[in-house]
Amino acid sequence: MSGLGSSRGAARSPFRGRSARLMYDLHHGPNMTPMVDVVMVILIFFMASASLLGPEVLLRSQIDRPLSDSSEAVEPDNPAGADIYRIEAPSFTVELRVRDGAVTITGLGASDAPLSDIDAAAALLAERLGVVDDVRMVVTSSDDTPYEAIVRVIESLHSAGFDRVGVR
Amino acid sequence: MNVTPLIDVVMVLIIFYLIVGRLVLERRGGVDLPLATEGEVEGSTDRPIVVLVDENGSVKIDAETILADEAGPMVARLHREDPTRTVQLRADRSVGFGRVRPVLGSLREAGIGAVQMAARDQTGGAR
Repeated sequence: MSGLGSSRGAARSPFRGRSARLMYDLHHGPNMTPMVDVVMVILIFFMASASLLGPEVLLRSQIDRPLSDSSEAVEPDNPAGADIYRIEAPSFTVELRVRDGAVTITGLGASDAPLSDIDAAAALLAERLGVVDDVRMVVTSSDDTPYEAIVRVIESLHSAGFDRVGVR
Repeated sequence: MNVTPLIDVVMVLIIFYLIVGRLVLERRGGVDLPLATEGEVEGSTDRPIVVLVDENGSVKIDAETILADEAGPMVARLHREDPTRTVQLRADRSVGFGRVRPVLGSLREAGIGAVQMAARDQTGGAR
């Protein structure tokens, strides 16, 4: 231990032989700028992707029995012995089909009309009926009808005021 | 300049968005929902029973792929465990209704009379 503190240690600066970068790090800490750049880009990416996902809405819809299902008999128009004063709520059917690659609607006064006609048809029917709270709407479709067309029709019926919409 | 607090905050934000993105993706299940402008907004406390139908017509409940006619019994069991849960149908916009109908039929046979159809809000949340 006798050698320490002698001529060698006193003459030599502790910073001798270090590069300028090491000297900078020693006084200012490591350079954070590149890391902050990268981290900010990642942050903005995740924020943008989260906001792109967007909000959602829900459309309520009943599930009606299929047409082929005969186990639940369809009530006849005027069954014998039925209370004639009981007024059945009217029911309307909208049928969707694909014709030449385009979805068409049949029902509500339309016959193989383009899908966009549903807004006008539903609004017109609602206006003629006046009170539409009890009116039942049934949406049927062919197997190849895209699901978005059904949602489009249900949405249109909802906005016309028909709350009891069923699919089958 | 002391950047440590900045990096702390930014890292927390990154982890937050990572988790949110993962949760949302898991729930979407690769389904491209149809667009709509009308409809109810889901409550934040709702825990719906989610039935997914993707573009190929395969049916999933709770990230488990099942056959279309198994949907009813499975949903009915979940519904019995907690009757307050609604049934949410998340079907791909391009899938043919022929793929969705058996799922609905199975739900109906199991006593589920109504579903909520999920759609992407076309108005971009400006309501």
